[in-house]
Amino acid sequence: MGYYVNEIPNNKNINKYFYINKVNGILEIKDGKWFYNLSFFCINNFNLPLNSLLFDLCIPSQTVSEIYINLSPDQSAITNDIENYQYCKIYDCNFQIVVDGDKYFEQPLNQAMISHKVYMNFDPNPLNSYENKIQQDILDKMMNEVYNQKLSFDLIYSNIYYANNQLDCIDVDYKYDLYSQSISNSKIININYEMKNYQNSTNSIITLCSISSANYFNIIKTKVDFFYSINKNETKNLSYEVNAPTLKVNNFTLDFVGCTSFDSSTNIIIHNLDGLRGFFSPKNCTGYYTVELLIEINSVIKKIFFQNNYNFKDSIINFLINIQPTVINDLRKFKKVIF
Amino acid sequence: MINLNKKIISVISFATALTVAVSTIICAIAVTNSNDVIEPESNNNDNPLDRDNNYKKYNISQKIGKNELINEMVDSIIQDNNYIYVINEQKFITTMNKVIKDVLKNDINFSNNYNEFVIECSYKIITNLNIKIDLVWYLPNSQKKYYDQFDLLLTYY
Repeated sequence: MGYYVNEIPNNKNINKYFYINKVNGILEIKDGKWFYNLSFFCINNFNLPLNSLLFDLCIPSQTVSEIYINLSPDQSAITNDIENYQYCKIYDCNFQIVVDGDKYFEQPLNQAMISHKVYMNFDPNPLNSYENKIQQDILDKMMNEVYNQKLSFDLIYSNIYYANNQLDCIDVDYKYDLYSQSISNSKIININYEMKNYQNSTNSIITLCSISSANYFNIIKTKVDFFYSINKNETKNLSYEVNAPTLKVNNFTLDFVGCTSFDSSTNIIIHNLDGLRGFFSPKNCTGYYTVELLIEINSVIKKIFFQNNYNFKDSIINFLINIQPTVINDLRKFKKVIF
Repeated sequence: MINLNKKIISVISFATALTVAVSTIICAIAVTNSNDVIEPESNNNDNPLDRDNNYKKYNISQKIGKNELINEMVDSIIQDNNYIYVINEQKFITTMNKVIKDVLKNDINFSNNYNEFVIECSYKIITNLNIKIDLVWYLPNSQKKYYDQFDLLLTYY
């Protein structure tokens, strides 16, 4: 994960009226919402009144506008870089925005680059009562500079993890530290997982996958899909969902719920939620299964997507209908249908 | 008096026979035209060995056995913690209806008017893996009838 800031080059020979510098921030994800906490220096040549600067935050999903910049209580951060400015003022712009990430990012994002832009804006109303009137041409120029100021940073974010190996570990990012001109760090929680691979028949309960973590987690939703093809014919799908959550666990094992039976007249595998546990199919059945686990860990909601192949060989007997000539001399206990 | 009685008996017999014949035709039409589930009826007194010269033995069973649709009568069920295959009676009836008509359609001797044949399928379920079948088929306006008898056995491999 990284981000960059489009800063104005700190060229002392250019007498800018306004620029921004030294961005720090934290992005925290809680309950599917993104909480931003950005702070940066606004440097201008005028002692601008409080609430005269605004800015719009644009991320792909929504625009959050008119957030006032607050004056930093700590002005000790003035550095030599800005001492040459005649009217220097440091603003510590600290705000928090809640973005409903999961609501917007309904489609799975796998290592998606999400661009953020912060557009500076200007509210001239406070200036009307400002005692040190600024000349109109200078004000226009400064406002123009304000409008042209923007921060941008890109987050590499994923809300889905594709588990491809039989045994591996998932890193769940839950907090991003945003630093100017450096690679930012993210804090992670580990989830270990294991997928079973079935090749032969089993009389045991079929375990599809299991996950564990040092942190407690909740399983919000489970979706299981079996894609199968019998005799290499058209691929069909058997699907079911479990919406009842599993709360506050360190370990979770997902077994195949219910059992299946095979309808030879339609070549469809039928899922029965009652009865034995097990996946039954003819031996000439191949395919793969997918499992989507929607989990919440440390207030981060993440979808883990498992995919595993299966191939039943020599597991299930097949049948044959034989016709043999016979002699019947009494039909009295026979039933009769007329077509 | 005797002649009169004979005439009355003849008239009554004729009327009864006519009523039975009409009822049979109506039933046959109803059964033929119905799209509903075909309900089997009991078969009380019929000895196939007494069939007269109008009946001709015709080996249709092997073609029935080779027809791909035949497997549709099989269900898989759970029994004693195992999956097993069985012949489902209702599926057997609907499948035989389809299979026999399909076989007649593809048999050069019947393909011209395969859809006009009346098919009487008498069956006895010995086990859920074995059914005995006596099959008779004929054209409604023809004296000539065809029949075949066979066992249908479901085997595992």
